[in-house]
Amino acid sequence: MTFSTIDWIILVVYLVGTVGVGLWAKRYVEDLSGYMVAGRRVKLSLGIATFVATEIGTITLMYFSELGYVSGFSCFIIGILGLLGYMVVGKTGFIIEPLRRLKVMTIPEFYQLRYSRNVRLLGGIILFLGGVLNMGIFLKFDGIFLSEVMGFGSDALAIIMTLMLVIVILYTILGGMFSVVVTDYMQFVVLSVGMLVAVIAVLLHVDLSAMSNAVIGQYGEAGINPLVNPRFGWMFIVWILISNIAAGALWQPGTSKALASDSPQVAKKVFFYTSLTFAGRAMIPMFLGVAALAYFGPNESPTAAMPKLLGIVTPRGFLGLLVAGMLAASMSTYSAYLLAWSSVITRDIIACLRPDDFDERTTIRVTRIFAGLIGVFLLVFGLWYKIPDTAFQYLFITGAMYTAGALGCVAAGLYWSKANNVGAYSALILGALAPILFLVLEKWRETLPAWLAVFTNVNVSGLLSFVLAAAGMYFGSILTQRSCPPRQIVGGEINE
Amino acid sequence: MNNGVIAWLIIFALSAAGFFIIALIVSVRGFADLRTLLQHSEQRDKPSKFPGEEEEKVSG
Repeated sequence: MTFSTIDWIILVVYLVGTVGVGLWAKRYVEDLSGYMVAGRRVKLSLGIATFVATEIGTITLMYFSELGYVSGFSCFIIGILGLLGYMVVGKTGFIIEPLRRLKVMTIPEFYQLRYSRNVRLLGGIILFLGGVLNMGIFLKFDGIFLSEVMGFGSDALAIIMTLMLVIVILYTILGGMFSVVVTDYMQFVVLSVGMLVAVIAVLLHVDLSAMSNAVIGQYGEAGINPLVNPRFGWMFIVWILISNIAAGALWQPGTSKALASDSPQVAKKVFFYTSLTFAGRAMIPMFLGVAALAYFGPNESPTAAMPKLLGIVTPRGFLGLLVAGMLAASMSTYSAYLLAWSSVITRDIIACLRPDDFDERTTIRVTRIFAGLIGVFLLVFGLWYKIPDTAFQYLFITGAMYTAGALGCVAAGLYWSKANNVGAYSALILGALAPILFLVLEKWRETLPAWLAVFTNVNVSGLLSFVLAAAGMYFGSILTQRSCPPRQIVGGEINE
Repeated sequence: MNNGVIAWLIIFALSAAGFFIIALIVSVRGFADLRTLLQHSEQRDKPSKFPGEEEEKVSG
């Protein structure tokens, strides 16, 4: 047990404070837009804080540090790709600016505006499945982090996971986006301090030349050059760059922060300035993973190495601050994700299946119920599911299940007048196909014929999902222009 | 240490510095934004918890 009394005091004060503030913010929720997008009144700096806090969870630090441990410095390329992808979205306003102008609250709402109610339903189902599967491993990794850093060991995993979930669900369900924004801000400050503490503690204990020697000794050139590393290569780089642009513009938990912005111009600026933190967001935990390789050698569990290192090198007192920071990171991510996915299932799936729409009070009530149910699913799935490849690749492939089709539908819907219903259906279905094949087939990787085994390469499946979605949108639309004429949005109105 | 490692370490140092500098600026300025957001919300009239819910339906 590495946690001291002062660490516990810091942690308990932080947790009680967060829940208290989250519940207090509930008083500002006057209506549905207040609950879902904080009344669309979030200004630049607060927007950046809440966006960064959403995009950095303990899971983020865990999967990036795992990559650092198993691939050395070559994985740092992912930080540069993240910076480039989000910068493109922020600089050009690609997708987010017109979406904010249309005042939609979820991405599938756009499908109904531009295509049809049934496209919204299908898009909502794929988004929900991809999103919840993606989030499914968060709790497990967070539990591993906390049990290793605090010195409890793996026995405490289930208890820690349950406690974390209950705290987040409490304030997310009650306070919606207002609670998320207010607690995100607090969590952003605490997680930044926590990350700074981690970097300084590691730099004081692990020599840079020892890190260099460990990487070169273990991985050789592949530890430095991503193009010769078998985990990466050109296909990986192209896939991750496209994924970052798509996820930046269309991943509901992040995009909802743009949709909550004060104006379309603020939404663009939020993305641009947030992109400047994205290289550090990836490279800081990767650096910690490389440090863990140097400290422990290659035989430690790649997942547990970084938290174990932090548990050893961080001084008492600072460890409480570090854990509070990581809990802050997780809670801000959970709250945004829970709100995003429960909003999607309520507004884009359940409401689409009913003849009449829900009124505002019922929408909020149903959203709260689903936030709770998703939480229970996360707990069960997190304890049971064994992820293929690295956590990073699992997260990007489940993300591609939705973002590939969504990129085709939304980008074409906004910027191509010939996009129609058939193209939208084709893009959504084909975009989800390769990732689903990967998730199913990789369980029988050894017994598959060569032509099917290609789908068990995560980089092939990931890139293929975007290619298929784009092809589906293009050919589906072009071939059916007469039988299914496209409709356009003019000033938020539909022109048939 | 070879040149590849040195290059990545420099990129890491710049990225980490960028992250923490933006974090500092946003922490200070974000607090003012947060106060504005909450003050604006407090000033709004709130005749009932969900005004107009009888007539207003969720879009879509």
